[in-house]
Amino acid sequence: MPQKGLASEMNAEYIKENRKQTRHRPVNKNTSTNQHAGFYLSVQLQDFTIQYGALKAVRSVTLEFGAGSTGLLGPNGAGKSSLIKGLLGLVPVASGSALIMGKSVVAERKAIRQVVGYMPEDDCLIPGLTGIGMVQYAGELAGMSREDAMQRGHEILFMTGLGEARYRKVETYSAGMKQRIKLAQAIVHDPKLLFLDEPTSGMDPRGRQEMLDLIQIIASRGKMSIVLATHILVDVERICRQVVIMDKGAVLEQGLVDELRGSYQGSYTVRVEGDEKAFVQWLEKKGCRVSPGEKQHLDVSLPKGKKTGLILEGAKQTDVRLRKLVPGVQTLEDVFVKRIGAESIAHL
Amino acid sequence: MPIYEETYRSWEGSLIPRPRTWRVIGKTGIRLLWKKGMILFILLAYIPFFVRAVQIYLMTRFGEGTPLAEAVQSLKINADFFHGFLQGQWLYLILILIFAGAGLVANDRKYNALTIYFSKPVGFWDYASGKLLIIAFYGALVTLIPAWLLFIIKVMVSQDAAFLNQYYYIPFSILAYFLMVVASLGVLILALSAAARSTRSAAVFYFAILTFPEIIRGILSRIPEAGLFSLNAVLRQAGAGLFGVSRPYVFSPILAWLVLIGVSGLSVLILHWRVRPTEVIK
Repeated sequence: MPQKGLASEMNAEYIKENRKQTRHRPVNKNTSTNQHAGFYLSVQLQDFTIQYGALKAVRSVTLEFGAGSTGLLGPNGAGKSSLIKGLLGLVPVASGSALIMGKSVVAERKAIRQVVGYMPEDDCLIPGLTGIGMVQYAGELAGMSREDAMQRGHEILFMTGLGEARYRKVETYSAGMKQRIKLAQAIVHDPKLLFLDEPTSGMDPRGRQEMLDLIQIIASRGKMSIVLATHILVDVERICRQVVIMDKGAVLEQGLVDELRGSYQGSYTVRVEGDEKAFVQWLEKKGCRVSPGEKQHLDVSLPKGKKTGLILEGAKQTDVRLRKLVPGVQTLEDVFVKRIGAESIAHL
Repeated sequence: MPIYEETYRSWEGSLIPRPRTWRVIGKTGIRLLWKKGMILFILLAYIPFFVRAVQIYLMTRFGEGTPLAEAVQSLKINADFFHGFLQGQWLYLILILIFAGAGLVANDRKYNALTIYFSKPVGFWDYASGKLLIIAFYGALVTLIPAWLLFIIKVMVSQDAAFLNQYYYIPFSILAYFLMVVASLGVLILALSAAARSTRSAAVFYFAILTFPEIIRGILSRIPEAGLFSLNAVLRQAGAGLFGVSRPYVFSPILAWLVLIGVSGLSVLILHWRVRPTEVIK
C-alpha cells in the first residue's frame, strides 16, 4: 500500500542531500535550496483513477512524488503511461484528484502543461518540419518567443546529439533520432517537471546508454524534476532516487531506491561444507527462509529479530563447516519481483 | 555561429503566460504550405482576377453608358459582378482547400503529432482555430483579397464617387461571403481530414461530397429543393442574399443557411470526436 507522508520524508532527504551538495559547490547567490523547496512536492495524487470503458488502468492511486528523479516502474500494462497521461490531461480522469506543483490537473491543465515536459512513448512527430523546426515549434507552443525558441532549439539539439541532423525533415530520422527529438521537444522550454515515458524503448544498446546519459545530465544539471516511466529496472536504478512500483493500475511499493534495496536486512548468503540438507532443515525449523542461490550458495532470510548467531548455531548443531557468511545484497529487481510476484499470487 | 555546449543548461528566459497557440499553429502551417508550392495554385487562381481587372478598367473608362454595356448585363460592374467573381473562384477555392486542408489533421494523426500538441498548453479550440487559420489564409488569397482588390480598382478608376455611394456595402458582403465559405467548406475539409487517416482519402472524400450532390441536383432539377443537396448551390443562394442580388434558385435562403449551419456543426462534432491527444484502444 502506498504510504502517505513518505514523500515528505523523501523530500526531507532530498533537501538534506541538496544542502550537502551545495556545501561542496561553489557558492552561487542565485541558487539556493529554497528554490527547490518551492516545488519539492512535484505531484500529489488522491484516489486518482483512470478508466477506459470498463477497464480501470489506474486504480485509486494515492501518492506523492518529491522533487528529483522518480522512477515509475512496472510491467507492461501496469498503468504507468495512463498515470502520466492522466496527469497531463491527455486522458480523462474518472475520479480522484491530482496536483502538479500545487495546480489541479483538471482545472489548470494549460498552466501545468506550460511548465511540464512530456516525452511520449509512441513515435510522435510533427510532419513536414525539420528537427530545428519541430523543436522551435514546440518551444513556441509552450510560450517561448520565436527567437528564444530558435536559439534554445539549436542548443538543445546539439545537447541531444542531433546538431548535425537539425535541418533534416523529422520523418527521415532513424528510431534513435526520433527518441532524441522527442526528448528535445520536451525540454526546449526548460520545464520544471519532465515526464519520460519509456525513453529507451526501441533503441539499440549504444543508443540506450546515450539516452540514459542524456537523462542523467538533465537530472543532474537542470533544476527540473524527472518522472521516468519504464519497465527496465536498471534504467530506474541508474537515474532515479525514488521509485514507485506499479502493477495492474495500483501502486505496490514506493520509496527511495537506496532504502528499498536496503530493506532486505536479515538476508544472508551462506556457503557450507558438509550435510547441507540437515543444515537447511534445521534453519527452516527455526523459521528461516532458505533458497538455493548461485554457485552452491544458500540465500538465508532470518526471522524478524534474529541475528547471524542463529546461522552459526545451525552450523554447529548440524556439524557443517561454514565457508561463507555475507549479508545478502538486494537489487531493485529483487524488490520488484518480490512485489509483483506476491501480488500476482494474491490475485490467483 | 555560436558554439553550443553538449551539456544541459537551464534556460533563463521567461514564458509568455498565456501563449496564443492557435496563432503559432496557424503561422507555422501557413509557412509550411507556402514552402510546398502553394504559390503556383495561387498564381493560377489570379488569372480570372486579371481578366476582371481589365474588364473593370475598360468598362469604367470606355464602356459605361454605351449601348453595348446597357445591353449585356454581365459587363456591368455592380454587386452581381462581385458575386459572380466569387462564384467563378469556386474551382480554385476547392483546389486550394484540398491542397491546403486535406493533410492538416490527417498527417498529425498519422504521425501521432496530436500527443505533442496536447502536451503543450494547447486546447482543442486552439488546435482547431490554428488549423482553420491556415485554411482561411489561403482561402482569403483566392477569394477575399482579389475581390477586395477588384473593388479598390473599380473605386480608383471611377471618375466620381457614384459607384462607392451605391455599392459601399460590397467589401462587407465579400468579407461575409468569405467567412461563410471558411466556416462551412473550411471546417468541412478539416473534419474530413480528421476522419480520414490519409491526405489522399480526405481529398477524395471532400471532392466526392462536393461533386455527387451536384450530379443529384442535376438529375432532380425539376424539384426546387434538390438544390439543397449541393453545397455549391447552397452557397450561391446564401451568397446572393449577402450581395443583395437576385437569387439563382427557388428554394428558401433560410433553408440554405440552415444547411450551411448544419454542415459546420456536424464538421465541428466530427473534428471534436477525432482530434484526441491519444488513441484509446478499449
